[in-house]
Amino acid sequence: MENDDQAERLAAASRDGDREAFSRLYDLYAKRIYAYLYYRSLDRESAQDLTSAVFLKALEGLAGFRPELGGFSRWIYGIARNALRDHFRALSRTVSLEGAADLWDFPDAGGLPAAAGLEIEAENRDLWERLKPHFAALPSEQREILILRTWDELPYKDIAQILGKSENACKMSYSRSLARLREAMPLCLLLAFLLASKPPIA
Amino acid sequence: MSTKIDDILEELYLIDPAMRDEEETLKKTIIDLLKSRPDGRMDKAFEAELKEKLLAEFSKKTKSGHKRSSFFLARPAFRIGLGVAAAALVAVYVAFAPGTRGLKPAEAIAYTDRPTAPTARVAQAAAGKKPAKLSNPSALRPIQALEKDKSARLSAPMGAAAPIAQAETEAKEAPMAMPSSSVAVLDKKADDRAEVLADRYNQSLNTEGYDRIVESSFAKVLEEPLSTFSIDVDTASYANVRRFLREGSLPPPDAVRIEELVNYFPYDYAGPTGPDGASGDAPFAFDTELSPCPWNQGHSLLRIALQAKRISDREMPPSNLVFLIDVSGSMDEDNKLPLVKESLKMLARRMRQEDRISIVVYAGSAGIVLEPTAGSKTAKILQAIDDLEAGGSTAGGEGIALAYDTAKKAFIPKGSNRVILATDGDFNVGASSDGELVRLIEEERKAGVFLSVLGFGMGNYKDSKMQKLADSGNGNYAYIDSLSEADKVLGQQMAGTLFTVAKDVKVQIEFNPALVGEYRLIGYEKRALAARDFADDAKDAGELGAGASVTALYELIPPSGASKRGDLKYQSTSLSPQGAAAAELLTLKFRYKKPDGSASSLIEQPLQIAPRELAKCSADFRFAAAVAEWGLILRGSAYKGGASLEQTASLARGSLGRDLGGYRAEFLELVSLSKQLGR
Repeated sequence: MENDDQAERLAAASRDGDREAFSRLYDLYAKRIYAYLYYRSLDRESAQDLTSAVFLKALEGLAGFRPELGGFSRWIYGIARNALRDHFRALSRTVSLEGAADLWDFPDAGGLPAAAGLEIEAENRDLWERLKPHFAALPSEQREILILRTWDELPYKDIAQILGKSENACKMSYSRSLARLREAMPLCLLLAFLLASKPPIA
Repeated sequence: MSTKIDDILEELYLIDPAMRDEEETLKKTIIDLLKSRPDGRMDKAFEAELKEKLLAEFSKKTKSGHKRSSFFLARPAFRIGLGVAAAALVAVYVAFAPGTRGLKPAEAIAYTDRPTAPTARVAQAAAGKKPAKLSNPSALRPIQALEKDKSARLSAPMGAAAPIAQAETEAKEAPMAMPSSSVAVLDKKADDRAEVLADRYNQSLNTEGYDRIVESSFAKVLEEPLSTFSIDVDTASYANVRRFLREGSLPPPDAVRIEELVNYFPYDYAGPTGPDGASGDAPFAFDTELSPCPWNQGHSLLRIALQAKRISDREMPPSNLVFLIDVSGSMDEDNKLPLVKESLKMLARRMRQEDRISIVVYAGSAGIVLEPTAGSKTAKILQAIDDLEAGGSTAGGEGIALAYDTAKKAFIPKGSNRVILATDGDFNVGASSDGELVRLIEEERKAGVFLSVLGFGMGNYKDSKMQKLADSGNGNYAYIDSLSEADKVLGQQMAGTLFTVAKDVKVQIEFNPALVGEYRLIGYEKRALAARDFADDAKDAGELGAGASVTALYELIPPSGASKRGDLKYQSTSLSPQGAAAAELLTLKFRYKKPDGSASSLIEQPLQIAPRELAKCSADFRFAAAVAEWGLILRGSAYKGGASLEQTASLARGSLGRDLGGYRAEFLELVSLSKQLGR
């Protein structure tokens, strides 16, 4: 990630007790991590709780961050992913330790957030309800890339780093899932998804 | 905007070039869709709050050079497990650390030892004030303005809270460019906002859950002659308050439950004397004392004390204990699972042949780690406890169900059958609501399996939930923050924790209006009962463990001379000749049930209590008064009158008594800590 050099320097300084560095590190990542968590939990409160948890974990584990194992982004998104997984496992009451690893892995739509909990305008709620099954049908990695690219609006370079894959593999996966969705859902639904959660464009 | 749309269109054309033909329609659809979308932006107030919280946490971690090296270095090295090479690296780093870091540890200490400082700084900066006014305590007052803040937040989550947060962020980061809109915000009524900000900061530091406590007010005896409440033997609030103070901050007012502070301490009350004694065959004895109220001139302080029958380990009925242990990822901290293990080992070592111990764990799923095992098989039990590891998420509901099943499997009739839940309270019950969980616990309680809750850790500690669970399960709720606390709850007071001598213990006092004008029960807000509930055996109340004591304090105002309630048109309440003639201050009534009984017994006793000078009262009385006074101050109570920390300290210092276990001496230390922290 373009910020990764900077992030790594800040992480190293934070580890040495530099409060200001940690503060800047937070500024650099807070919004992104929140968005990441929000688009996957689709619940503001959960996203806030999870964001707190992720940064507290990051603070705890700062000493364990080793840049040579992948950049800071990969590290902190990894924490976020684990937090999400725990979150969804807790939501699912399955006995299996595997549990649900993802919002979309729920066997029934009951696990997915009801549109009522979403910050969606009323007229778009049923749109969301119609979108859900299409996403649930995608393989989880394709879905992750799709969401990272569209909702999180990350460039392929970043996605590649977060997932530890090559940029090209991510691009291919993205277009493959788009194509798949295009076949499965009406065009307007696909558009809705692509635009569903962009920050307002000035 | 157009770039974004173009990007999306290009991506679509890659999939299906034919869509190019419909470009205009597509564009229009995209624009329409853009108008209604979920908002994935972070709430600014939340962003600022979290930052404050993290930085406070950060400062705590770096409190001292020594601590920092242990925190930032020790764990990862061993976790990564690179063996000798890594260890050597660490050693080098540690060796260099003090020199290279120069003055930083001192700075860090400055942050953490005065935790209110950031508040003041933020507030002050937002208000555009000079640091000279930093010490103005009004900027640090947490209660009143909080309400305003809360309602603002509720009614308009973005609109109202965002400007505050914005001001907060920008105030802290002066070098950043400041949008003109927020300059205006800063200009207007800066003082008010500073206060709200300070309050907000104080509030936002923790995500812990406390139910709001609404203090009971003074009641006029002519209007409400009966005061009814359930006993409370919980002590969690004290340990929790202690944690806050030790970590350098004042507890949130709602974390302070005065009766739990008072009841934390062991008192030398006389126990029941047996079937022929004054208390009959009741499982507890009681005692009263009256003196002038230390913090309100002209008022009196009344103490009601209950002392449960003390029983030795050997007399204890056989126990069937199921440890239900939260091993989710959040428990993986030094003050959580490792402390749980040590605490349980302490308990396990005291188990006997006839006792049964089982262990159920829950995280992503629930499972039995130890099937019901005889208490004499200590090695096996200790091994099972040692093997516990944290990881995964929290499926508490399932764990509770499994624990109850296990308890029923090993049920000992006439014994003490109990599930002991050890958790940080970040307790996820899946789709089932807290209400359902409470119902489950209540049902099991009726079937004879009680629930005790041991709270561990911090940060996401859910106090109100844990208290509710324990109360529903006829159990006690203790907060364990250290080995010595574990020793107190599970070692010295084990019998009280595990063995109930009376359940649904209710107290009712009828004051004599000839001698008492108004009364106020201090604390017990969550335990208040309606007068009619006293004789209603269906109404649940508190349990009394073996050897436990309960202290309740009333502040009394002498009668004004009126003998008749004057504000009613259709009826009148006036002092009966019997009351006027009696020297009785009050009639004290207790109701309780035997642990396995369902009908209550009544104890009723009219009491003449002669007031004594405070100095002539028992040390237990004076100490309890000191603790209550401290609680009033910590809560910022409207009824604290002339209460002061100086008075608290001197009262407590003069009433240390034998102080077995050093609890009262520790209290003195906490009083002086709270003094330093400024309330």
